[in-house]
Amino acid sequence: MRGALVWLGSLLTLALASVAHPAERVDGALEAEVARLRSAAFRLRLERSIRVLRVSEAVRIHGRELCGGKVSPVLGVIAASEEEVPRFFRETARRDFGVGEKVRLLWVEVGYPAAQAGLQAGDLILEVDGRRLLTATSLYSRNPGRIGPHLNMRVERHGRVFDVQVEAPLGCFAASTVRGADYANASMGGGQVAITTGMLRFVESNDEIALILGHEIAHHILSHTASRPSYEADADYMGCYLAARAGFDVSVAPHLWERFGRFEPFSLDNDRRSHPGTPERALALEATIEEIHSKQIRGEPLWPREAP
Amino acid sequence: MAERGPMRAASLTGIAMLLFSVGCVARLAPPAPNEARAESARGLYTAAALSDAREMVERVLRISGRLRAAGAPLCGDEVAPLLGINVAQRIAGPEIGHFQEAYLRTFEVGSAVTVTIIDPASPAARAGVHTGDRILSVNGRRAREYSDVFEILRDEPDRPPRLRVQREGEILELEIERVPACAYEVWVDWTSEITTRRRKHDHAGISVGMIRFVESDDELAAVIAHELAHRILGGRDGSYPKNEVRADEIGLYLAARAGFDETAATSFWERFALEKPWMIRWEPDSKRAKEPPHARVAERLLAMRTFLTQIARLRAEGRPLLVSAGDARP
Repeated sequence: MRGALVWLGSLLTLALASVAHPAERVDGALEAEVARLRSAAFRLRLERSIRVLRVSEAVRIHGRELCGGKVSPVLGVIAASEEEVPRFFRETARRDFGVGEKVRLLWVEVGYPAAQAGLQAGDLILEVDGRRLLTATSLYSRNPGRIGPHLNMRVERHGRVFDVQVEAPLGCFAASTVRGADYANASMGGGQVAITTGMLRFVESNDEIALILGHEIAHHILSHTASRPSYEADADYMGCYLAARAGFDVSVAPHLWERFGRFEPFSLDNDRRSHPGTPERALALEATIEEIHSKQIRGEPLWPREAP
Repeated sequence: MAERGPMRAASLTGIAMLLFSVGCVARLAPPAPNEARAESARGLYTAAALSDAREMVERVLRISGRLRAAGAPLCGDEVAPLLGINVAQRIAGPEIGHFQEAYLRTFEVGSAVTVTIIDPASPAARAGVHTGDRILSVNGRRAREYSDVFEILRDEPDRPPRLRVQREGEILELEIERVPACAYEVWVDWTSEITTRRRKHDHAGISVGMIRFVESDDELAAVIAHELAHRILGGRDGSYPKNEVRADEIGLYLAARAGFDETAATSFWERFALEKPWMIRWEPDSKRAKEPPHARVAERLLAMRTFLTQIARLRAEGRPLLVSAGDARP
């Protein structure tokens, strides 16, 4: 009995303490503030994803010749299902964009196959080529059994279900995502390119994004699974070709690495096991740019040199 | 079909060529960089990074100096004269990287406590302290380690500091004007993460990522003021997360008293929330299991708006900006 009284007493103290402080006001105001901030953050994430998509799809399409069999359809969409959305965004994604269990289009880029086929932001993609679509990522997956240009999609819009044929050419296999992290970085894993929000704050142009995505896509084309200085040099080299093929101004590459060295001075070292130093990378890219420019002037195809 | 621009090249390329076989690493022949040119480029990049470092440290010294001086009345007996310098010394230890080595060489850091960077508007700068000076003693007491300098100053807060320094073979005695300030050192941490780190009770590290993320001196002041407020509250601020809200309140008053625009705090935390949405409200996640500090931005923003209204009212009524830190410092 005495124990219960003490317990009650401490509960009361807690209650008084919380009433006394403005931080713990009525839940309604806090809920509204959380919703407002998350909604704005989700929109910022989507805007950044759209920027990356525009660069990524251009690099993928124009790089196709270099990608051998590592190709997948280029659609020009951003889509998501609930489980692919980070937990802190799930509620917002559901409320603002109706993202649930099924894959919903959040953005359809004008000029790309999905838009040309009449797909719209807000559409649900139920099936692709007769198979149920479980995740948005699998929209970008290689489909080894099908190299043809047509994708048959079963779409739901405002409760109405219909079929759409999308003429989707193949591009380099890569699904680009934006990852929330402060440090400026990009990574490739199994064809998934993740570029950090820190990197997107660091870059000064889409040309720089193209070089970074090109580098990561090159890792995948070249079957790199680890980091080694020679792999990085090869990925820089091919990445520059990929960006140039898509019409980006690759002459910014040395400046990008110069800025990066200044930004992350620990990247200046050349004696590490994984990456060449930023000065080495800038200089190699300077020579790569000359190589590319002379090929462009002579009207030669933009193919990187292979090791003998 | 005018808008098919991006598609045209793709439809012309025809069937994909299987240049590289799947599964094995293909090697390319990228141009090899010239080593001598790479070394000279490394020198240029390093110089640029060092100049950024100097600018950032100067900025943090200047802003934290203003806040520490303005906050002195709230810091009770935890007060020390303000110097406005950054010091470093070489210690035996593991091998350091290219940039750290360049940093130590550029600022002529030796095994003695060396002045590296000085806030040009600080008491130390006015007394003629120079970059590269070796601090031998403070108030007649030997300073072997950098922490000695600040401990001696804290022991004798009421006298103008006297520094005995060695400069190019000469020994100089420099008397520095006494500007009382909270005994609290603010350093720059070389990490890209947008964060602050409290070290012990009297140090705070402001990350390079943070310095780059803030959009104004007022925003940086808001961040430093919050950390300084934790120091003023000194553990009497209750437990997490209540102590964060309390530190926000004191921090806003500190920034306002030091002449910064205290409303920058809310614009800063709004942008922080958009950049790091997992910090808006803490919900355990498979990837982030432990709640990081500052992870309840929504809750704190609501409280900060209330505090800002109070400050605006005090100002409109012409009353002094006194925060009720009394209940925190008995």
